[in-house]
Order: sequence, then C-alpha cells, then structure tokens
Amino acid sequence: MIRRLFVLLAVVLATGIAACGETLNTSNTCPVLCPSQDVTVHDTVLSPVLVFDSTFIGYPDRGNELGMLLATRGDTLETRAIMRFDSLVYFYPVLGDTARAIVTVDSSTLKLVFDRTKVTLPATLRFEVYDVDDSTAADTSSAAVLAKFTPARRIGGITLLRDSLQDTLLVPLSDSAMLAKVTAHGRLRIGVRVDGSGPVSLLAKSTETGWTAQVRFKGVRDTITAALVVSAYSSTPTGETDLKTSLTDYQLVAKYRMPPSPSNTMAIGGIPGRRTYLRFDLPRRITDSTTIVRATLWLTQVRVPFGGAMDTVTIKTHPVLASPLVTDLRRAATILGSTGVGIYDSLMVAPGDTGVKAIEMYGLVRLWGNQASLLAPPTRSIVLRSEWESISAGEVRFYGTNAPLALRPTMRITYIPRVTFGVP
Amino acid sequence: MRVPSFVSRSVSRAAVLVVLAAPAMRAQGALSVQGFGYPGGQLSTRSLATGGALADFDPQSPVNPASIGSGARALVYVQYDPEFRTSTAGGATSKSTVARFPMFGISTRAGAATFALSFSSYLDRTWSNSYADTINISGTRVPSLVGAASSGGITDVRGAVAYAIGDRFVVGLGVHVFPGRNNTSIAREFPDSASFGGFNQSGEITYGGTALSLGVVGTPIEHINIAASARFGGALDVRQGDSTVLGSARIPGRYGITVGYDGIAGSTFSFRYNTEKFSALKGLGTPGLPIHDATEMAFGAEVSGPKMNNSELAIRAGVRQRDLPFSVSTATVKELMYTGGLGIPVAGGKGMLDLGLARANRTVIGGTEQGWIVSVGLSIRP
Repeated sequence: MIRRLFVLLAVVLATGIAACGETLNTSNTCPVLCPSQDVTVHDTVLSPVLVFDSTFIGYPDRGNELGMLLATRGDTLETRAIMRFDSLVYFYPVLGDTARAIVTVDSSTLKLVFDRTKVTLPATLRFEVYDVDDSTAADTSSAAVLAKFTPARRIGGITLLRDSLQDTLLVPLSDSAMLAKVTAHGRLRIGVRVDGSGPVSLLAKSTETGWTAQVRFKGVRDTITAALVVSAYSSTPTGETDLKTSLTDYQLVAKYRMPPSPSNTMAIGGIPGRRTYLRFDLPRRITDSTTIVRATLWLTQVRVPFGGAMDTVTIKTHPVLASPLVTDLRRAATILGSTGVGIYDSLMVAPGDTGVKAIEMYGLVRLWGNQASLLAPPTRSIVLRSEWESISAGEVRFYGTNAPLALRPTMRITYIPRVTFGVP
Repeated sequence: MRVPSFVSRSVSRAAVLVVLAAPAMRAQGALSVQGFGYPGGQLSTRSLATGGALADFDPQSPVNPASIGSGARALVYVQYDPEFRTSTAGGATSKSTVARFPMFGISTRAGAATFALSFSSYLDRTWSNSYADTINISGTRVPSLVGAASSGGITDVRGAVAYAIGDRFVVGLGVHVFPGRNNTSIAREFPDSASFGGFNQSGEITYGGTALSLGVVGTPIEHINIAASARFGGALDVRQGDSTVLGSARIPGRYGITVGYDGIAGSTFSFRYNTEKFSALKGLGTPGLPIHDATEMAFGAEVSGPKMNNSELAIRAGVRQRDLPFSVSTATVKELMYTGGLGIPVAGGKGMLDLGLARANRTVIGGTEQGWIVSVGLSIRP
C-alpha cells in the first residue's frame, strides 16, 4: 500500500514540476476566442508641417568629397581634379652608396585610380594634366587654380579609347617639367581635366576613399633603377591641419550651369552639393504622448531636365543633432545624426521625375517625442542630402513652404493615443 | 505562476468616476479565462475532489465562514493547482498550462469560537497569445502580428469567525476584502518596420472591493447535515494603477446550500446548490462584456479507505456542473467536471496531504475546452 502511495506521490510531484513551466500562449484559437483586442488608430494630415525650409550650397567642404568627379558635359558641367605633391623626392638611392641628387628624370607618370561604378564614357577620351601651382594665390582660391589650366602649363596627358580605360590609369607627364620641379626643390601641384568625343563623367578615387594619387618617375636613365613614387601631400596652409589634409586632393568646379532653383523650391544634390534643411512644426499632443505608428512626409517633386535627368539620385535623410543654440543653420546642417537613425530608408528619385514622393519617418518623430523632457533637445529638423554629394550632377528639387498650398510639404501621421486599457 | 495578490487597498467611495475611452482587452484564446478571469470556486483540494459538494462543510474552503468551526483546533493550509488545458475553437486547438497557488489559510480555536484568515484566488486572469492580423493604417492594409498578455487576478482575503451553538450548530461571519491586480500588455508589430512602427503598451489595473459573508452548519436530524452560506457583495472598483477609477460595480452576491448524509459509517455524501450573481460586475468592465450569473450543482462523496499508520485514507469522488460567468458571446460557457482524490494522513495524523484530480469539460457554441486540474493540498495541525 505504502509503495503504491509513493508511486502516486511521485506522479503528482512530477506533474506539479511540469506545471511550474507555464505555457500560457493560446494563439491558435485567436481571433475566435480573442475579441476586442485592438486599439483605436488615429490618422491626421498636417499641412503646413514645416516652420521653414532652407537650401544651402557647398557640401561637403572642399577636399572632403568621396572622390573627385572628372566630368565634361558641354555647356552645363565641367569639373576637374587637383592633386598636391608638395614633398617631391630630390635624390635617388644608389645601391651600396649614398643617395645622389637627381639631375635627370625619366618615365614620369601620374597614377590615377577610378571608381567605375558610375561612369559615362564617350568613344574616345582625353586626359590633360596641368601644372596649377601658384605660390602667390590663396590656398582656397578656385579662380586662381582654374586660371592655370592653360596650354602653356600643360605638362602631360593621354588620349585613349573607351574600352582601353581600366580601373588604373598612368598618365604620362613631361620629364622636363618634372626635372625642373625636382632640381628647384619645388613642389608639384597638378590639375587634371578630361574631355572626349562626347559627354564624359568618371570618378577618380581620392584620399577620402582610401587612395592617394601618385607621381612616379625615375631619377636616372637606366633599366635597373626602380621608379621613385611620390604620394600626394599638401604642405599648406600651415597651421590649419584639417584644411591642409583636405587640400591634398580635391575637386574643382569649372562650370555648373544648371538653371537656378525657383524661389519656392528646395534643392538636393548637384555640384557643389546642396542640402535642404527642414524645420518641423509637429503638435506636441501627438508627438509627446502617443505612439506614432506611421509618419509619412510627402514632398512634391519639381522636374529638373538637366545634369543626368534620368540618373537615379539617392537622397539620404539625417536628423539634425544641433541644439537650438546653434543659430547658424548652414553649420547646423553639418551636425547630423547618422542616416538610418529614425528614418530607415533612402529616397531614390530621378531629377527629371515629378509627383509626390514619400519619406517614412515614424522613428524620428518618436525620437523627437522622447526628447521632449530634455533641457535643450535638438530642433525638430532634418537635412536631405544626396548620397553622392558634390560628385554627382543630379540635382533634385521639391516644392517648399512658400509654394502653393497643394504643393507644400505635408505629413500624414498615424498614431495610437496612450490610453487606459486592460479592462475586459 | 499565479500567486494571489495580497495587496491591501483602501477603497474610496468618494473617488470621482472617470470613464475613459478605454479599448477593451478581453482576448484570452481560452474559454475559461474570458472577461475578468476564471473563477476556481475557492475550493480546497478536498472540496475539489468531491466536485465542490463539500465546500460548505469544509473548513479549508473559504466559502462558508461557519465551516471553520468544524475543523481542527488550529490549522495551516496551502494548496497548489496546476491545470493542463486544451481549447478548441474555429477548428483550431491551443494547449496551455497554468500553475496556480489558489489558497492559503490559517485558523485557530478559542473556546466555542474559531477564527480564520485565508487568501484565495477569486478570479484568475492569466493568459497570453499572439497571432497574425491585418490592420488599416492610413489607407493601407498592413499585415501585422498581434501580441497580448495578462497576468494576475482578484484575490479574496477573508477574516472569519465561527461560533458553536451547542453540539449541532455552528454559525459564522466572514469579512472579505478583494484586492487584485492585472498586468496587461498589448503589442502589434509590423514586418515592414521601415515604414510602420510597432505598438506596445503595458498597463496595470487594480481592483479593490469588500463583502460580508454569513453561514451556518448544522445537524438538524441525525445523519443529515445541512450547511448554508451567503455572501453579500460590497463595492468593487477597478483602477488604472492606483489612481483613476475606470469602473465600479459590486462584488457578486453568492448563496449556497448543501445537504449531507453520513448515515453509512465512514462515509459522507453531499449535494450542493450554489448560485453567484456575477451580473453585479456589470459596470466594472466595458459595456459589451458578456457577464452571466452562474449556477452550480455538485454531488460528491468521501469514504474511508484502507488504514495507513493507524489512520484511514479518505477516498473522494464527485461531479460538478456550473456556468462560467464570462464568455465571448451571449451564450454561457458550461463546465462539467468529474473529480476524484485521496486524503492521506501524514505526520502521525498531525497533517493531511490531499490529492485531487479533476477533468473539466467546458463547452459553448463554437468552442470546447478540456482541462486536467491536479490539486495538491497540505494541512498541518500545529
């Protein structure tokens, strides 16, 4: 009898232990047995939704482009690349002996590396290299550098067929020009221009993309001495380290003749890069005390028929992190959160397109609501910029806050109020 | 695991009633835990094993305050009741397991009076579920995944006193406080998280109510025992957290009578009729919540079994038929329960280990539910 009782107790004990791991989920029988399990969703369209919008030109700062666009598109666009070699080599090594001063130069070339993912190439294209050094001009003067692109200052070049252009290109340089720089213990500053039998556009890699242009030459005429390699380096302006580094290699706009933006539009992209700053006016009763399920910013696009009108432009949206204390909006448009913070997708449009475009930004609106308790929360602002800022000619325009009412930016917000719930 | 909430809360009748546009949250996915939850019946393992038929006589079941007078001089009692449940509706089946600790009580006797304090689960509202659903957001039909959960319930805290009048009658008075809490959450997630933000809200609602109960146990005729009890409900409020009153109602009144026969040596046979006016809860929840008064009938027997260590085992069996107070629609959920169990003396008769097993069949139009309830109760006589 006692043995049977122990067996019974063991069964009960095992059952009790099994029941300690609760399995409460009864999903299969929903929604038949799960009525009234929903919340009321509210929906509203905010128009106007912006306090203001502003378009600023010149992003990123010179020398910080993600590459150097070499483009020549008739009357609309021409860009050039500048590379500084301020630390040339004046001696060549001799095996088993001391280095000797260079008195002759042979096989001088400029090595360029291209990003061929977005290129427009004519049947034939020509690269021209100019000596653009000017010891008297200000470092940041574009006009002074552009003025040096004269036939008299041309020190190299190459013409080639489209199919023969590879990722890496060695452009022959004038040995005598190089020798003059070396013997004078001077510096070499090069400007590169490209043209061809038609519109041409290709992107040369730069310091910002992990590649620094190189000049190669031999300090002696023989077949056994290796070429000397000099990488781009800028020695000026002294005392401004960041700018000096930026000017190691940079892009220069020789021509950008896009029709000006109408006053009631805002622009993104183009060359130099344009950014649009949008300041929102969202009702706090929604942003601060509800759960935002969806927030869609609607922008009405204006057609731009120039500069690669059908090339896709990827527009990135960034939250502005600058506090209201930063009143210089051009500067505020550089104090940005990473793309993907609060806005999880990019907007891809063609400049020649029209119509309403949507940016989903519920995450950012939620963030703004959560920041309401901060002493100095960032302004409720975003910046729209092109992914290929300043290195892609595509410019996208949208109607702004002073456009006709039907064309202004609007926002549709879907939200769920924080309500009392839980009562059956 | 479900542990009765012992929150003591003063219930202010002066509170301003604020009715908010609160979305209902009835979702359970099981027949037995609709509405404010499953009423276990406040049965001890012994009572459960007899189908509830002994509840009005049983000192461990906080039903009839007079019954504590027929118990031991002093008693400490705890109970554990896991349930293994299978619900079927719309051709789909859900299996769930819930662990409950539905009862704890102590009692002591002083002369002709017996005093008791007990904590028991009155309504257990514990469930969770998740399922796919489509919702219209700004004109777009969007697939989503809904998740909802609730835990907690309402506890009956009873202080009782019983007084023996002669050898044949005991009368009792119980004062009840009903604290409670439900921690709830509801969420909706969207596969397209780049465009739609998920929704997740959790909340806490609390309950506070009072009641008074009266009872009598007597033997008017030899071998015929009669027990009767009634509970008179006081105010019951449900609040958001511990502040805003969301709804007010009354604790359901309950009336029960039991007739027992012990004319056969070593055995007791009982029949119980009980009705509970759950409709008094209207006003506590949303207006559309179906609430039904519940009638219960039970028949059970307890007989002496073989001896163990000079003490006799108790063998119990019963059947119980009742209505459940909450349902999905206007149709009432019926529960039919077959029960059985053992009472095993331990510690030389100073304690009793009660084992019970119940098979519950719950039915309503469009759905069924079967549950195995294992009940283990331990009482110690210090």
